[in-house]
Amino acid sequence: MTESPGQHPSDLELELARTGEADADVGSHIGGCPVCSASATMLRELSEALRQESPSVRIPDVVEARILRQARRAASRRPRARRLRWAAVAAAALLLALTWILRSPLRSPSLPERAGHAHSTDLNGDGVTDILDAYSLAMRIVTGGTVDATWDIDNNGQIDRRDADSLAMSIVRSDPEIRR
Amino acid sequence: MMHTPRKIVFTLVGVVLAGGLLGCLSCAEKRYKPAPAALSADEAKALHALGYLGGYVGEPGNAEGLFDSMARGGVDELWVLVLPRLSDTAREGRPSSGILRTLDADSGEVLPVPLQHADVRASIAGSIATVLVEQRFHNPFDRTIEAEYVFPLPDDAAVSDFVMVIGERRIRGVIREREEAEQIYREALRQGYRASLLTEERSNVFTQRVANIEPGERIDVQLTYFNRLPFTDGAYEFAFPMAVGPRYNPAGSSDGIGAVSREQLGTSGQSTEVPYLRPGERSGHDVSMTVDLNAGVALDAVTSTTHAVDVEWDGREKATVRLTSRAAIPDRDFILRYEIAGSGVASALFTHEDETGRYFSLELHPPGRLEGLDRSPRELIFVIDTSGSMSGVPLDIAKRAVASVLNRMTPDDTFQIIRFSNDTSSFGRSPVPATEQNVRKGLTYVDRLESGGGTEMLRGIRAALGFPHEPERLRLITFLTDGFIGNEADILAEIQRGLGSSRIFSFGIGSSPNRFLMDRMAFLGRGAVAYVGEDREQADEVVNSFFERIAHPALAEIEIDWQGMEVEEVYPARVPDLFPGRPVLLTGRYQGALPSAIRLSGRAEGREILVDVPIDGQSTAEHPALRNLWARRKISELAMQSLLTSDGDMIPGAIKDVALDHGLMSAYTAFVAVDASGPVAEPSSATVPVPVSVPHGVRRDTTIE
Amino acid sequence: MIRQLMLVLGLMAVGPVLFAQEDPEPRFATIAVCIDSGSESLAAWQIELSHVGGEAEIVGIEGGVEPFEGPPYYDEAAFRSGRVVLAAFSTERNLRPGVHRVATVHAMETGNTIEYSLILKAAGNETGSRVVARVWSSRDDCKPRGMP
Repeated sequence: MTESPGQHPSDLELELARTGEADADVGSHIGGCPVCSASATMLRELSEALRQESPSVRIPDVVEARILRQARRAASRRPRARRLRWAAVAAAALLLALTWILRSPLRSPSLPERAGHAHSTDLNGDGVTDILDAYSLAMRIVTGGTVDATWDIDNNGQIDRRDADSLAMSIVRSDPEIRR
Repeated sequence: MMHTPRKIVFTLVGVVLAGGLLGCLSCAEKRYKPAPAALSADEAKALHALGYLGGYVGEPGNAEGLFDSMARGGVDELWVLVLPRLSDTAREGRPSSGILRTLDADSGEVLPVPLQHADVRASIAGSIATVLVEQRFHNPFDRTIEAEYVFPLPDDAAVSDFVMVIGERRIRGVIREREEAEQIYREALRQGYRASLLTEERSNVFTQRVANIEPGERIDVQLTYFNRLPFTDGAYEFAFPMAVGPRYNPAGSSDGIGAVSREQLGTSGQSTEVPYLRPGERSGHDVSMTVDLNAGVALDAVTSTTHAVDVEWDGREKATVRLTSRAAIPDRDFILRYEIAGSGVASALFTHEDETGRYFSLELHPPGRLEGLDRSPRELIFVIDTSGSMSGVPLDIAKRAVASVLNRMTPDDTFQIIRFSNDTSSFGRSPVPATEQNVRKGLTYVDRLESGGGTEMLRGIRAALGFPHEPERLRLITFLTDGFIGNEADILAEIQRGLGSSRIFSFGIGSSPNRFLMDRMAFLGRGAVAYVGEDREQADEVVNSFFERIAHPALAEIEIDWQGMEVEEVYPARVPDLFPGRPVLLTGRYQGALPSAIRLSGRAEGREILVDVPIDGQSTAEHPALRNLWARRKISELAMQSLLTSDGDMIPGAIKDVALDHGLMSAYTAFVAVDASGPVAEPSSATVPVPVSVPHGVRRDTTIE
Repeated sequence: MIRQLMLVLGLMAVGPVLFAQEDPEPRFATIAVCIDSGSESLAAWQIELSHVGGEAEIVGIEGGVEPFEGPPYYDEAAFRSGRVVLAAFSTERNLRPGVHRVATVHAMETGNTIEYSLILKAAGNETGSRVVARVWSSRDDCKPRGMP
C-alpha cells in the first residue's frame, strides 16, 4: 500500500471530489489514476455503508455547510494529507480490551450472616417460628379469638392484621429454624 | 513517527463514539458523558434536537478557534461521526407529530399524555407517615410506547415498596444496585417485556419509566414510602410535593436537572430533564389525595394551607382528610398541618425491635426558658434570589419578608442586603446599624429590586459569607429563594467550607420550593428553615413567628448523656442547635434497657443549660417503620458526607450496602419489575415523557429555555 | 489512510461479536411455584428458592392463583446471597386441597439452562396445623404431579 506523497490528491480532496466540491483538476486526476480511482471508490462505498448502518437523518444544512467550509479551509492550507497511523488502530484495540474488562459484572459483597435473635414469636407453640405463627395470629384476629398482649407486634395499642404482616415480614427475613 | 496530539485526540474521539455505537453497551452507557464535538452551541443544539449526541465547547465561537488552531497545528482531517443518542434506556426514537396518532379521534384541548392520574393515600400514626402513591400510566396512542415521568417526593422519604399492576395481576419489584436495575430494564424494554424502573436523581426528584405499554393499555405503578413529619411552630406538618420547579444549571454542568418545553427535549444538555407543558396546555393528569390521621393524642385543628380539603372527624384523635376536588392539578405542594391540643409538647422516644436489632427515635423539644434570656447583638445578612423564577409573586413575598424583619430590628443590630441572579450586588459596602434612617434606605433598596436572569446561587453564598465579620456580633444569614437550581451539591459544599461562626436561616418561597436544598442549607448552616408559601398573609405569619424565634437564642453545642442506654450509629452525628418551636429528631440503634431519663447539656448566650428528658412507658411508642427511617437517615448522612469531603470514594459503596440491606431507594439503588410472562406483540417504538405544569406562581417566560 | 480507518472500523465491528460469546443475550422467564398439599387444605406456606446453572436474577414477584393471588412476603436482601425465602397465608375459609400455584417468580436468565430448586419450610392447613406437602417449580403452570 504505497503512495508517493505529493503526486496524488489527499483523501480529503477525494471526498470533496465525490460530493462535487473539489477543484476540477482533482476530478480529472482521479479519472486517469487507478490508485486514486480505487481510493475514491472505497470512500464512496464506505460512506454508503455508514449511511445504511446508522439511522438516516438529515443533518441540518447550516451544520453541513459549516463543517464542509471548515474542511475546505483546512484542505486548502495543507495540500498533502497525513495518514492515519497505526497508533489509532492500537487505541481502538486498547479501547476494545478495556470494554471487555469493564463488562464483567461487578459482584456485590456477599450478605454478612445475620446474628440469630431469640424471639418469643413462636405463637403457636410448636417450637419453630415460621409462617404458621403469622397465620395463627391472623386467624385469631379474624375470628376474634383470644390474643396475648405481647402479640401487639407494632405496639400501636391494637392487635390487627398489621401485626400479622409485621410478623410475617420478620419471619422471611430471619434465618430459618429459629428456636425458642 | 508520531502525529500531532490533537489529531490523535480527535480520532480517538471518533473511535470512542463509534465504539460506543457498536458494542460498548453495559459500561459506556451509565455515567457516560458525551465527548465534546467540535461544533458551535447552535449546531450542537440542532443535532441534539434530532436526537444525536453532542456536548459543545462552551460558548459559540469557540468552535471557530478550535478549527483554526487545528489547521495551524497541522491537523487537517476531522471525521465527525454522527451517532444515535446514548442514554440510560435504549431509546429507539422520539415521538413527533407524524409518528404517533391518538386512539381517540377527538381528544379535545387536552394533550394526550401517558400519565392519567396519580392517587396518594397517606396513613399517619403519631408523627410517622406511611404513604402509598399510585401512578396510572396508559397509552393513548396507536403504537406501543415507553412512558417516562420525572416527579418529586419528600426528600426524607424512605421508599421501600414497588408494585407494578397489570389488570388484576400485581408484580412486586425488586431493589437492586442501580446499574443492574437499569440493565435489567433495558433488556426488558428491548425484548418487548412490560417492565418498570424507578431511579433517584436527587433525594427529592425521581424518574419512573414504564416499558412496552400497548395501545389502549393501562399499567399502574404503586410506590410506598415512610417519612417522619416535622413539628414546626406548634403543629406537625405533612408535605407532599407535586411539581419539580424549573431549575437553573450553571454553564458547563451536565448532571443538573434541565427544564425544557415539552417539544424541545434533549436540548438542555443535562442528564435529567423535566418537560413542561406549553402555555395554556392541559394534560388531563390530575391527582387525588386521602390522609388518614391517627395522632394518638387529642387534636386542636387540622388544616391545609394549600388546598381545599374535607375533614371527617372520628373522635378527637382521628380524622380523615380528602381533597375537596378530586381533579386537582399537580402544580403546587400539598401541605397539611395538625395541631396537638394542650400547652406544650414533651420530648418523646419511639422504639422498634426486630431480628436485626433495636432502633430508637428521639424527638427533642427545646426548654421553654430559652425565651427569657437576653440576646447578643446581631448582624443580619439578607440574601435575596432575584432570578427569573422568582418573577412576580415569589419576589413580592421575599420583599415583604425582608421588610417585615427590617422593621423589627433595633439600632443595636446591623444589617446588609445582598441580591443575586446572574451576578450579585449589595445594599452597601458593609453592614450598617439598623437606625431608622438606614432601615428606610434598606426598605427602598429592597422595594426597587427587579427579577430576571439565572440563579448563580454560589455567588450569593460567597458574597454573604465572604466579607469581614465583627466577632462580637452573631452573623445570621437569611436566605430567601425558591431553590430552583440543579447544582445543590456546590451550594452545600460552599456552606460547609465557609460557614465559620455564622448561621444560615433559609426561607423557601413559592408553591413548590426545593425542600431538599432548603432543609440541607439550614442543617449545614446550623440554623432553621421556614416555608412561606405563595399567599401574602400566610407568609407574613410565618415570617413573624420566624423572627420571634431568631430573636431568641438557640441551645447550642448540645451533648447528650444517655444515662446508661448503649447507643450507636446515631444520626445526625452532631446534634443540631435547638431553636424555640423547632424540635430536633435523632435516630439510632441501641442495646440494653431504656433509662428513666436522658440529660442534655448545651450553651445559650454564653450560659450553660441542663435539660432532663424523662422517659416513661407513656411517652414511648413503637413503630415498625423506625428501622426504615433510621436506614434512610443513615443514607442521608452518608450522602451529605460525600458532598462535603474530597476522599468520599468509599461512600457510594456504603450507601449501596445500607440501601440493599434494608430494601430502600437511594442514588445507587433502584427498583425494577418485569412481567416475564410474555413479550408484547410490538415492542416500544417511542419514549413519551410526561410533560408537567410549571409550578403555580412561577412565570414560564422567565424560566423555561 | 482510508485502509487503516477501514481496519479500525472492522475491528470494532468484529470485536463485540467475539466478546458477545462470553456474555450471551439474557432471556426472561416465569417460574411457577407449585405446592401439592394432598388431601389437606392449604392456608399457609413458606419455601426457600435457589437456582443452579448459569445466572438468574429475580426481576419480579407475583402471586399465584386464588387464594394466593397477591404477591408473597419475601426477603429483599436475601437476593444478593442467591437464595430467597417466600411465604404467604390466606385467612379465607373453605380452602381447597390438592395442587396450588402459590406464587410466580419472574426471572432474567443468562448462560446455560437454569434449574430452580425449592425447599418447603412449612405448610399449614386451615386449622393452622402443619401438613406434609410437595413443592416444585414449573416454567408453565402447576399441573398435578404425574399427570401429562
